[in-house]
Amino acid sequence: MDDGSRVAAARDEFAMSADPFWDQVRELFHASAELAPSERAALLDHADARVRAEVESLLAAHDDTEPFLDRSVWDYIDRAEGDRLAGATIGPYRVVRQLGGGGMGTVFLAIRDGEFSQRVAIKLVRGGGGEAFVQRFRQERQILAALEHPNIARLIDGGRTPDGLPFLAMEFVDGVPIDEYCRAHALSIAQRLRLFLQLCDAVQYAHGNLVIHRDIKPANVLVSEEGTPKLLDFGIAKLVSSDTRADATVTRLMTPEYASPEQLLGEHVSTATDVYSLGVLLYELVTGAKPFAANRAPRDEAKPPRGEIGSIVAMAMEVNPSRRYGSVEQLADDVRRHLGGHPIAARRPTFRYRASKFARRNKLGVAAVAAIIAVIAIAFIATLHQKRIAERRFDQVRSLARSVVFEIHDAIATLPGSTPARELLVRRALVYLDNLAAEAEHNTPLQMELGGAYVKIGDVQGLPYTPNLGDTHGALTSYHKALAIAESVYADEPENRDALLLLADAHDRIGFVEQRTLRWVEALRAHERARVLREKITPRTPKDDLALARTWVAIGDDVYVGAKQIPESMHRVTPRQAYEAALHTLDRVPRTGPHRSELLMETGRAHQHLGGMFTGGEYHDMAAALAHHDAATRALEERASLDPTNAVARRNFADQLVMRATAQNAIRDGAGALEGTTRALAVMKELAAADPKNVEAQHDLAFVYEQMGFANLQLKRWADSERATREAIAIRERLVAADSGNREDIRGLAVLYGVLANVGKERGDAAAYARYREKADELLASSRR
Amino acid sequence: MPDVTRLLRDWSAGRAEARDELVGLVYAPLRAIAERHLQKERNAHTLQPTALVNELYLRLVDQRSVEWNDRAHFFAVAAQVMRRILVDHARRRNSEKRGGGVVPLTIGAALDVAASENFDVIALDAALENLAVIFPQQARLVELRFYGGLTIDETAAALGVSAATVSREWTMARAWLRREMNSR
Repeated sequence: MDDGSRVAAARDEFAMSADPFWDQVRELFHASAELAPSERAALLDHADARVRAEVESLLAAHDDTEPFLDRSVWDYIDRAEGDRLAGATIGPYRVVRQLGGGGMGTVFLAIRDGEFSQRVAIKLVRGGGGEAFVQRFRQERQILAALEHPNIARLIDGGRTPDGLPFLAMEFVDGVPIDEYCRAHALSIAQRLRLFLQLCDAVQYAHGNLVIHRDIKPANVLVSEEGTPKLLDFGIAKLVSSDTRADATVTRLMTPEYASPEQLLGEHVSTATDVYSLGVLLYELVTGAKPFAANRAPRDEAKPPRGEIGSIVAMAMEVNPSRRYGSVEQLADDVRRHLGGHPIAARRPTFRYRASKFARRNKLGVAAVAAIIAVIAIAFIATLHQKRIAERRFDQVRSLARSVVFEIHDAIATLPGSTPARELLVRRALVYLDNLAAEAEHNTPLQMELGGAYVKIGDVQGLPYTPNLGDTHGALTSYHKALAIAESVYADEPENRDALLLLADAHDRIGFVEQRTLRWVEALRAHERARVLREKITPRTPKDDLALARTWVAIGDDVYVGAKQIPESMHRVTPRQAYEAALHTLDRVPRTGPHRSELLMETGRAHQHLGGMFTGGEYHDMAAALAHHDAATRALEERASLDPTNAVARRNFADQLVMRATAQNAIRDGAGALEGTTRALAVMKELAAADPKNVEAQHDLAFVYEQMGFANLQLKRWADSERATREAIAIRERLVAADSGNREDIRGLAVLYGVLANVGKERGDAAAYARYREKADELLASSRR
Repeated sequence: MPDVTRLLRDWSAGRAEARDELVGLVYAPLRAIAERHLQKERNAHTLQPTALVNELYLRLVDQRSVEWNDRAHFFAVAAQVMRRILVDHARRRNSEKRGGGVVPLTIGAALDVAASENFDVIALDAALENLAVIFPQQARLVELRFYGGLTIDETAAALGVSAATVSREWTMARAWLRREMNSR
């Protein structure tokens, strides 16, 4: 998707205003606010006079540079505290003013009483741990105070304030963070690299004195006006690191931009940790962007470093510490070689780097970013595993992979926009599980986890009617892998309930994918196997009944939609019997309690499909069709209202509105159908915009437009009908081009060209009629191939 | 306090009055927590609104029976409460003459800092009301950012939209409010 349309999609995330005037104002404001005042006229000239006047007055306010709402109420509260401390005495120092609030605590500028020349930065350490902190400080101060380097801010003193709060006094550096400095002075890449080399020199010196920084980031590198960089807070992270409150760990995980994988995991920290953080800093200095920042506005998007610098960054940021540069000196040497035009030593980019590119390309929510961190964590543990450090590691990899696949994946699955994150998650976890499974062939629980993971990745790849990536072939492959595993476990342990469930799940899903490939015999065979397995399960839980009902509905679909393909010998039930078996099965599920939402979904689904069946030729009974569609609409509407944030539930409800519209179209109730599709279109558009990678959302959109085209055809609104139909055609053509395994949409295209032919006929345009008719026939033929 | 949990549920399920009841319930504890952080507990010298609200959330909400999105709702409530605290304080301050001497460090003193800056708390509140009529989501966004102290990313997560959208709409909401307040 190009940037322009992405911006448009982002704007659509906010609901329209009740008054179209204000929507126009908003749109024009957004379009012109980013432009220089001189460039705006061209845009504004085209606008309606009232809209223009409103936007101009807003732009005038926008251009006002007086600070306004630039800090939150909480910042004011914070500052009140800083003002209170001004003039206070901390040890031998007097506070002058607050400098800022850092991650570890508030920083003040202070002077030593009586010696006005000595300015220090006092850091009040939040959560430093009182007496324990002072103990640690005593142990470390000798070493830290001995660090004397022109690019390291010295530690001067430390202790506790009169009210018992730990503090540190450090050399005050009058400068700005290195990233700001580079930007403000528009430094060239070579100048940035030279600045970076001075830093490396400082870190290398400290490492020579057995001190690890642990928290290298731009905020800790201040550059003076003369251009001298100074590293702050050397070794300070260790002093405050005994702070083991749970929330501190969480905070770390959520803001991991500079922390190395081993730090995120609370593993052993070494000089390699600083090499990693220097790598992140280098990335940022040369690109102007953080490798792991999410939610960046499209226009801020920067390319990751390429070429030699890219390789240097990648090697510094290796997940496995042993594969990074062996020392800061080696890193600096490579940067020097690059500057001097000599060949560098760094190897090719690796996963961590690729993951960073992924994070850069995808604007993901907080949850997804956290999930990516978890993936990186797995990558790290897994590399340790490969070295067979200990049996314990094996269990760690496994439990982490399991939590990624089953917990994190499920937690983000219903969030709009999470599809790419889900794929990355599951795919990475699968690699590690594969490795483990090779070593533990006879470990049944592990084999089961592996099978479950294959099902999950198949879902993300292409389970129809859920958010997926549209990779039909990939999904089938994954499900068949799961099936093979489940079969082998089930053969050994016929009593294993989980194996039986996994087997049924795999069969069911293969059936669903085969439905999309229009191979109804395969679909029915798979669903029948799943049904037989599910009926064997004892004792039965409500969950089992819900799953069985789902399978029954699928069987109904297979025999109804695929009737022409399915040989007589396979016709065990009629579609109606299958759907009613589903409703009958659902009678066993308690109406209230934890399964309410799923019960509504399955009930809605069964009625929906019955409604569809009664609409069609053989079972034609429109009164029954509409009654079932109404029942389905009620159930799915209630379900969507139970959890307004559940994108899948909202999608299913909107989809039902379209299904009902198909029935309304069939009884020539164009007005009813138009109302339903209009309502559905708003939801589907929103969901598609929120998750542009989700192919299913595109299928849905095409379906809404298709039915909208029909409705308008009934209402004799030829232009509206043609417009909606063309929208549907554009989407389906894209879908077919992207996934050759998808025949359903080829057939769908044929239907749409049929609508265009009808519009042509009604308008008396014989040429259009003939042209579109031919196109429709051609497509229909190719869908059967 | 299971009440809060139930009210969050109700609000999620679409009962708008539940939100007003929530605001009432959360007002006193939030104010108390903010004041405690300023006065007694010296180990938290930089306020983190999210940490404070999290603490409140943990205290008031029954963890076993909530879902992840309840938390986002709760942040929205906390932001509204903060807005109300600010306005109530400004009203009281306008109506009663304060005595001289040392101002104790209460949340009120902090709010004085806010109020003495470049805008009028009560006027902002009224302007925000007007904005809510035209662009309700922009008004919510301002609440979360200004009164709730949420970052762009946190706001995006709470509203379920992208950070880019939050950024753009925040820009416009600010322009709108600035104009509204200038015209007074």
